[in-house]
Formats: sequence, C-alpha cells, structure tokens
Amino acid sequence: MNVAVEARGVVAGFGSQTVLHGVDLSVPTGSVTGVFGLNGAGKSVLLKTIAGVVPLRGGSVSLGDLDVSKWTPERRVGAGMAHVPQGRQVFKSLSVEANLRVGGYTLSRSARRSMGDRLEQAYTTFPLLADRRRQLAGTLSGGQQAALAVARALISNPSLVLIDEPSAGLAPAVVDELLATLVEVRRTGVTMLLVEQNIRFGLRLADRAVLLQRGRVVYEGKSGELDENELASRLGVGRLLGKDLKAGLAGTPRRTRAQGRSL
Amino acid sequence: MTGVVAEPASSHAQSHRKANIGVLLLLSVALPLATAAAMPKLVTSANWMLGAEAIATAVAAVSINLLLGYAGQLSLGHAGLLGAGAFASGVITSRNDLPFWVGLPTALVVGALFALVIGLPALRLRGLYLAIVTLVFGIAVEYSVLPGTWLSGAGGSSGFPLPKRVWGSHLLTDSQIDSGIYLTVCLVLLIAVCVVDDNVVRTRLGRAMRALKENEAVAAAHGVNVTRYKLLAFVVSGGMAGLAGALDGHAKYSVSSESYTLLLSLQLVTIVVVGGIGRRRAVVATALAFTLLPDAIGAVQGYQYAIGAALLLLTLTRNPNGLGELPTLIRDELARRRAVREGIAVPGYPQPSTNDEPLLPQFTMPDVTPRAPMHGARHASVHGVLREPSGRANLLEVSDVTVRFGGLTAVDHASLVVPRGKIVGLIGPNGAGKSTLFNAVSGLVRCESGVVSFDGREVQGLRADQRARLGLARGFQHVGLALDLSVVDNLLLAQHQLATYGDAAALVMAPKVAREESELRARADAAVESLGLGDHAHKPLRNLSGGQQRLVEMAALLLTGPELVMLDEPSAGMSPGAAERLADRLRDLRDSLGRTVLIIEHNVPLVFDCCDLVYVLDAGVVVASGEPAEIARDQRVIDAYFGAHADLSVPERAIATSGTDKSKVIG
Amino acid sequence: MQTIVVGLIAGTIYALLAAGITLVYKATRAVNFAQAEIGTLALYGTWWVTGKHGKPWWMGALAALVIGIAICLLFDRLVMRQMVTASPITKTVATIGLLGLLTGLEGRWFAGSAKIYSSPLQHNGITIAGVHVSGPQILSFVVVAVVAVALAVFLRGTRFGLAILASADDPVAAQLMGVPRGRVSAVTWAIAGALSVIACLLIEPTVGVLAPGFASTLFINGLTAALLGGLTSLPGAFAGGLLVGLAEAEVVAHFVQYTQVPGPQNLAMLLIVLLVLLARPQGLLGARE
Repeated sequence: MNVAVEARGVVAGFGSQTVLHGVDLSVPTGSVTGVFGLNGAGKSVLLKTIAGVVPLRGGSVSLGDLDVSKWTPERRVGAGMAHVPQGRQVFKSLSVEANLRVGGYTLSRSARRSMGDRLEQAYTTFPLLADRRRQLAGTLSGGQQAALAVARALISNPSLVLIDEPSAGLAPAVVDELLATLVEVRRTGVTMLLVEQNIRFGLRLADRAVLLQRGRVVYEGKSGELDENELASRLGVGRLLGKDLKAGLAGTPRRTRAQGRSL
Repeated sequence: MTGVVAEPASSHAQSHRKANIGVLLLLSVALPLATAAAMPKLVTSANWMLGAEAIATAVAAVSINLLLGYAGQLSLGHAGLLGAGAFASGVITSRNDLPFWVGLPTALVVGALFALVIGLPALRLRGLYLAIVTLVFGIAVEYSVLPGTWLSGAGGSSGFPLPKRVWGSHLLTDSQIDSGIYLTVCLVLLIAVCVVDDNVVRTRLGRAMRALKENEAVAAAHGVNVTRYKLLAFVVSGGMAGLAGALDGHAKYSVSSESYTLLLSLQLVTIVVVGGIGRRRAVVATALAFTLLPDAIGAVQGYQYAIGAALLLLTLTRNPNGLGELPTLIRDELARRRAVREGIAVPGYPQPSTNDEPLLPQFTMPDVTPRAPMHGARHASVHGVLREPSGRANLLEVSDVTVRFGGLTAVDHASLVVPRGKIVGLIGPNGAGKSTLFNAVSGLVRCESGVVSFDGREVQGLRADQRARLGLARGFQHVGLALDLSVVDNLLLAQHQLATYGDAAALVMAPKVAREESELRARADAAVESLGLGDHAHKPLRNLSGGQQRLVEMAALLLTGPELVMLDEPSAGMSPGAAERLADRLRDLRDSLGRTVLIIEHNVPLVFDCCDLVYVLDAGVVVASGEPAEIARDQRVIDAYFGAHADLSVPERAIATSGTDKSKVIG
Repeated sequence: MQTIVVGLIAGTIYALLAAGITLVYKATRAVNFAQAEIGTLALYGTWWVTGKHGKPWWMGALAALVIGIAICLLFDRLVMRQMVTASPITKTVATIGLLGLLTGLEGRWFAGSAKIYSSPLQHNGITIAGVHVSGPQILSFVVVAVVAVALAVFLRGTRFGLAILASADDPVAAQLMGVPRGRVSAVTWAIAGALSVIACLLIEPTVGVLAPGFASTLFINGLTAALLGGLTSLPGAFAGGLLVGLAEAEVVAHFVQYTQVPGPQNLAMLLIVLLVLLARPQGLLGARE
C-alpha cells in the first residue's frame, strides 16, 4: 500500500508541556483520514507537527519515501504537501485570484506557465469563486473563504492536503455546503488528512478514522465500522448520553495499537 | 522581554520602610563628610561635572526603566522631559535668583506635568502607537517649545543659564569642595529616586503596572484601572526625568535646546535595554558606565554611540534580559558545572519536565476570605469585604445579550441565570461563544444589546475593574494571572482592590502603606502555604505547571472575597487525577465558602459531576438548560457537539455493533 | 503656487520614506526608525565617489544603493531574523539600535565638515505660469512616479511580490503555501533600503549639505506620512507623503513670520499624528477593522 504521509513515534509539545506522546499515523495514498479527539487531545498539534510548524521532539515524519522530519514547512509544501489552515487563514487583503496564485507559489516555472488553466479549473470546481475573482478575500463570507482556502490548497496539485478543523466557526448550513465541496474533491482522488471535532462532518468525509486521546492514538481503522455514538463514547463525549457519569473522571488512556491497525 | 524584577521579595514592607529612612539619613550625613574629606584628593574638578552628568543619566534611565520595565510603555520622547526639567529649573532660579534646590522640585513637577500631557493619548492608544506619540512630542518640545522666545529671549539655542545658587548670593563654584558638594547632592537624589522606584515595585502601583504591561485584560479583571496606572507611570517617570534634566543642567551651568534631541531619547532607551529592562540596579550601573567609560578609555572615544547601539543589538538578539541577568546566568552555569562534576545532572540537557501530574497529591482550597476590613477602609461597600448579601435568589442574570464582532454574531440573544450558592456550568463546542459570553459578563467586551445584572444591579455600563470591585471575579482560559509576576506577587495583585492607601503615599512608603502591604502579604503567604506552593512562592508563575497555575488563579480569585467566581476551563492543563479533585474543590467553594460558581468546561463529565445547573451554548445561542441529568438526555446537546446539520450516512450495521465491539479499542 | 510646488517636491521625499516604513511595518509590525538614516549613511558613499574622487553622479548613486541595500540585508540577517518571535515594540527598539549605529558611525567618520557635491542635473528648469520648477525638482517627480509604478507592478504582478504581500497579510498561512520566510524578509528589507537611498539621493541636491543625523526630521515627516496611510497602505503612504509635504510648506509659508513659536511645522506634524492616531488609526484610505 502506498503511503502519502507517515508519522512514527511522534513526540511534540510546547514549552514544558508534552502534548503528543509517541503518535503513529499513516495516511494511504488516495484515502481521506480523519483524526478525531476532544479539545486538548493533540489533534491540531499532530497536524502542525506533520506540517513542520511545531518541531518534533521525537519520532519522524515522512512524505512518500522522503524523511522530512528536519525540513522547514516551506520545503514540505514544495514536496507536495498542501494546507487548509485552521480558521481558513485566507489572505484578506488580496483578491481571490491573488490568493489562488499564492497557493501555486511552489509550482515550477514551467508549471506556472499553465497558471491560467489551473485558475480556470479552480473556477470550474468552485463556481462561487469565479464570480468573485477580483473581490478581496477579506470581504468574502465564512463559507466562501472556506471554499477559497480549499481551492488555494488544490491549485498546486498536491499529493496530500492537510485540513485543520474545517467546520469550526461556520454556521451549520455553511458546514453542509463545505461538506458537499469536500466530498466532490474526494471524488477526484486527492489524499486528505483531516482534523475535526465535528464528528458527523468528519465521518461523512473520512474513510479512515484515527482517535486521539490525551496525545495518544487509542483507535485506528476504517471509519465505516464506527458510528458517531461509539466514536463519541470512546472520546469521552459519549457520556453526554447519560452513560457512566462518574467513570469519565478517572478515565486513563488505554494502552494501544493491535488489531485496529491491521484493518 | 520579561519584566521580572530580581529583588528579594521576602522582607516585609514595614521593615523595608525603616531601612529606606535609615539609608537616606546615613547617606546624607556620611557622603558629604566622606567626599569632602577624601575625594578631592583623588579626582580633578573637570571630572566632577562628568560625574554629575553620569548620575543625571542614571536618574533618567531609572525613569525610562519605570515606564518601560514596569508599565511596558516605550517612551521615545524622554529628552523633551529632561529639557523641560532643565529649562524649568533654569527659569525659576536664574530669573528670580532662587537657589538650585528650589529649582530641582520645580523641574520635577514640570517634568511630571509634561509627561501627563504626553501620556494622555494613552486613554485611546497603546503600544507602538503610543510610542510614536511620545516620539513626536519629544520632537515638538525640542524644536518648538524649548527654543521659544519667551523662554530664552535671545533664542534657546544660544544657551540658557542654570546657576548653582545655594543661598542668597552664594553660588557653588568650580572649586573641588563645591563640586564635591554638588556631586553628593546628585548621589543622594539618585538614591532617593531608586528608593521611590523600589517603593513602586513593592506596592500595588508596581504590581498593577507590571500586570497591565503583560495583559491589560487580566489587570482589569483584578480591579486595576488600566489607564489610571498607565498615566501614573508616565507622571512618576516624567517627574524623575525632569529632575534628571535639572541635575544635569545645573552641573553644566547652562543648557541649550539643541541638547535634547531624539538621539538622546534613544540613547536612554538603549541604556535601559542593555542594562536589562526592569532591572534597576543594572540599569543604573549601565548608565554610569555609558557616561563614564568612554572618557576613561581613550580608544573608544568618538565611537561610544556606535558601541552603545551595537551593544543594544547584541542584547536584543543574544540575551534580551540584558546585562543585569549575567550574574544569574553565570551563577546558574557554575552551579550546573558543579552538578556535572559531582555527577548529579546530565550536562547541557534541561531536565525533562513531566506535567502529567503537576499537582501535589492533596491540596486544600484556602479559606482566605477577608474577614475584617482593611485599616481605614473607605469604600467598604464596594470592597467585597463588607459586602452585605442582598438575599436575592439570582446572583447573576444575563438577559437577551448579543455580542457582535464585525459581521460575526458571537453571542446571539443569550439569557442565563446563576442562582446564588449554586455551581452553574456552561458547555458547548469550540467557538460556541462561551468565552465571549464570559467577557460580556465581566466587562471585557461590550454587549450590543441586552442586560447583565449582578446582584440586582445593571452592570453592562461598567468597566471590567468596576465589576470586579462589585464582587465578580473571573478566571481566564489561559490562566488569568500575570505570568511574569511571582506567585506571591500575583496573590498580592489579586488584592489590588483591598488596599486603601493612596498612590502618592505608596511612592514614599507611608506608614499606612507599609502596614497594609504587610497585611496583604501575610494573606498572600497564607494562601501560598495552604496551596502547598511554599517552594515556588517567589518563582515567576510562568515556571509553574499548568495545574499549579490554575491553583494559584483560583486562590487569587478567592482572595478578593468575591460573590461570584467565574472559571474558564479550570481543568485545562490538569492531569486526570487533579481534574477529579477539582470537582471536590468546586463543591468546597459552594458548600464551605458559600460562593456562587460559574464555569466553562470542556470536561463534560466534570460538569455533570459537580454542577447544579447546566447551560448549553451553540453558535452563540443558548440551546438547552437544566439539571445535568436532563441535559445528558437532550438531543440538542448531542447535536451541538456533533454537528446537527451534517447529513448522516453512517451505515446501519455500525449502529448495531456500537459500544460492544471492544476488539477495536485495544487493551 | 510656488508653495504648492515646494511642498510637493518635499512630499516626494516623504512619500518614498513613508513607502519604506510601510513596507517594513507590513512585514514585521515594527516601525523602522533607521529608514531615513540608511540613505544618509549611504550618501557618504556618493560623496566619496563623486565629491572626493570626481566620478560621475550615476556611479555615486549606484554606490549609495549598494551600501543602503547591504546595510539592510545585514540588519535583516543578523538582527531581525534572530528575533522573529519578538514583540513589535522589541523589533522597533532593534531598529533604534540600527539608527544609533548608523548615526554613531557617521558622527565618528564624517563629523565636522558638511559634505557638498554636485547635483545630478544641471538643467535650469522651466517656468510655467510664473511657477519655477528646477531640473532636480522635475527629476524628483519623475523618480517618485517611476518608483511607485515599479513597486505596484512588482508587488501585485509578480509571483514573489504577491508572496511578500501574502506574507505581510498572514505570515503563518504564507509559510503553509510554501513561501520562504527568510527570502521574503530579505527582499522586503532590501527594497526598504533602496527606497531610503533614493529618497536621500533626491533631497541632497536640493539641500546640498550632508551632516550626521540630519535625517531625524525627515524621518518624522516620513513617519507622519506613513501614519496617514495607516502604516499598511502603500498608495496611502505615497498620498500621505505629498500631503505632509504640502502641509509643511503651507505652515512654513504662512506661519513662520507671524508666530513667536519656532518650528511651527513640527507642531503641525504633532497635530497630524495625534489626529490620525486618535480619529483614523487605519489611515486615510484604510477601512476600519
């Protein structure tokens, strides 16, 4: 099986705090892998570590066959890793088209010659952007910015797209639109690694699920075999459903990895 | 750049005050005798002037240090204040034939007034913008105010006389004895300025300034009137700068407006940064060195400005805490080497810190509720201390509150009620607007519409510090304390509103101030002890684990004797075991201390465990409320967390096997 | 009318300085206090080449550009890049260090005698409707127009220019698009250095005198102009520069002889700064955030 990105024994954190305690994760080419977990489980830190924004304290990250552990984030992008950052982070003072052009920054000189075609292709996939190519990105609505962030990541034909909490801060109706867009994108065979708190959204999109709890992987497998309630219960939110109120307080993370991985 | 002041904070304010007076008395007697007897033999009279200039520079540097090191405000116009002081003293002493010791206080007052004017835009501006205003003020003073014809008649640039008149017609001359006397006066004044600066650090003035430097919202939440203390920092700093200008001017006999350039202002900033921002002794030493050394070392003459600037750049890039940190660094390095020699520690490796179990096995929440008013409490009714419970059933009522940021509606017509003596939980997914609602209640953001009433009083028009004084204490998601301050200083900061002494009294450490400070300190010490953090009392809070910081935050909130304690994710950063004990502590707050508690918490089991009432917020809207058991069954809550509108297409078979298939949850 | 021309001429210089300040501010959120001083030190290179060794003006100008850009690249590499995570105030203090270093060196090397050198254009200028415009003044206008257009084309029209703008907008997101931080920072500073040198090259022939630290009032006016542009808008900075020049010329023409207060133009700057910061901190053209 071809692996687009693989993290092995990743240890990372901030200051005196260690957030990830030896996380293993691999994203097969062509798959959409969702990382789920509660606040503070380390989902975003894991994504940022893979991106190279948060430095590794242990373990390694490889992109395809390349060990990129010591690479800068820019260099990883150059090697085919694209990003839809948390909160979308479009360039607010630039036009929609300029945003897309910056998305293609790492393209080679020859590939840039076809930038016009790439832009047109993006406008075909995201028609709502086509009508607004001269508009400043800061004046777009939240949903439009989300679409722009996705289009911006895809413009360089990446081998892997990292998506950080796409649904956060969006109105429910907009989340639905975004979901439809991303399902379209998935159909084109783009490999995605997704971090999401909104479990329904994530399960709808991901074909593989990774559960993170306090910086450790507690489950890894096909997402079709989990339903939201089970996912939720394994993450601790499930006790919302009235199950086992007391037990949640002292929940120690269970030691991990066995059959789940082979699935 | 941290503003940590390396002072032994253990000595109590009262004994400190005695030491202050003792030192001043001793110096004022001993120094003139010593200098008159011995020093004329050692140095020539030409050096006297340089000595006085060096001391004046040190006073000016202490002045910048107070503003930048404590209040965090960069002044680029201090030369204007020095000039104002020098010209003020010159006008009053040369035109009216008054002695220079009348001119010096005049300079102090004029400097303070000028600084007040410069600081006034601080009501609207902060940070870099305020620094730009100080810069342009400095330029305007240099080019437009000081050269004014009304000041100097023939134009300020030709020089303005500052006689050293002592009494009647007696002037201090260039003779060695006279120069020695003037130098002694300068030295005593430098020490006096340092003592005042020390008093600022040791009282609520300094704590308020250092807190607002780090985080204005946190300072306001502790009842600090942010603009008042910013302005106060400007005024005290300006007074010192005016004095420095006059000292320097009288030493030189005459000054011209051309001396007070932008470059002088920048040179003073350079001295403070190189010495170490917030480190008074290092700053004074650096100021003296910057003035005296170039004269002593002939080779560097002419290059002193370039060398100073190069030192500034080196400091910023290599060791932002300045030269003042070097002794500490050297001491630590020696200790490390000794440890390596004795085989205790691995060389070069910081000890890995495990924050998995940050808390001591057991902790007790301190009952530090003030029982008696402070001495001479004036506004007892707003002081938490003597607050009479009104007996209203609902302590906090939020009705129909809406908060918008630009086009985003963060809180949308939200209403909630916090009954007295209950623990109320506020839960909801990321970005639901929970913290924004907290900010609206505590006064950090403005409500676009709606009413916040606390104990029957509408408070939506009050500032955050005013609400804090009413007994509304709030913590923050990322610990609502000043991380650069020590544990004890944070607990003292928390009692800001309990101190009744005036700010002017604090500057001279009046007996009342010393007495109150030692009371506050005793309470802070008691709190530290009961938290079991005695070993960490004087460490910057930053160096403590997340769980310990949370503990200190809670103690700080309780020290003011609030009616309502608002906590934003108190279990964040705590280990599972500690989070479990947190529930007991929250119940203690309610049952033993009789407080009302409102918490935001992501640890839902914790909320269900200890809350009497739970509100669920989603996308700014209160979607559900009730007792934990009801909430747990509410489909809207599940929707809020899982995303209600996503089109579910999870296969049916998954539901059939849910919750039982342990084979996938490994071990 | 003559006042307006004088004001606009001075304004071109402020516009160039303001553009440099704005560019650095966008990239670092710090105000570059050395913006005017970089060009001043570089001009000693021009004087050395043209005044001392009698080479043609363009060689002197080239020397100044090389010196100015080199100073900025070194400052970026050795100082700014070491303090990426520092606060804007701390970074601003670092530019104060650069200012002190440059002024200190100028004071040591060139103090005592003002340096004089010839003007790039010996043209006598033209007179339209009673208003005299000299050769160097025409040159100023042309240069500023060319610089403004070139900057706009580079930033909006090229891949790297867009990367600079994107990086100024959101450095983390730009990095996630593969934009190299170091190179963006270096190029931004190099442009700022070139702008400083060009501004000073334009002012020298009209003033004709070179003395250490003379640039501090220039800097204040340039900063005022940049503030008029909200510190973030390049068109705003250019417009602000011309406005500041006009305001200064009007104040000098109408108030100097009638008022007892010396330097009324400095008070005018103070007034403008206060008004802008208190009423429109986003600048004349900016939208309130």
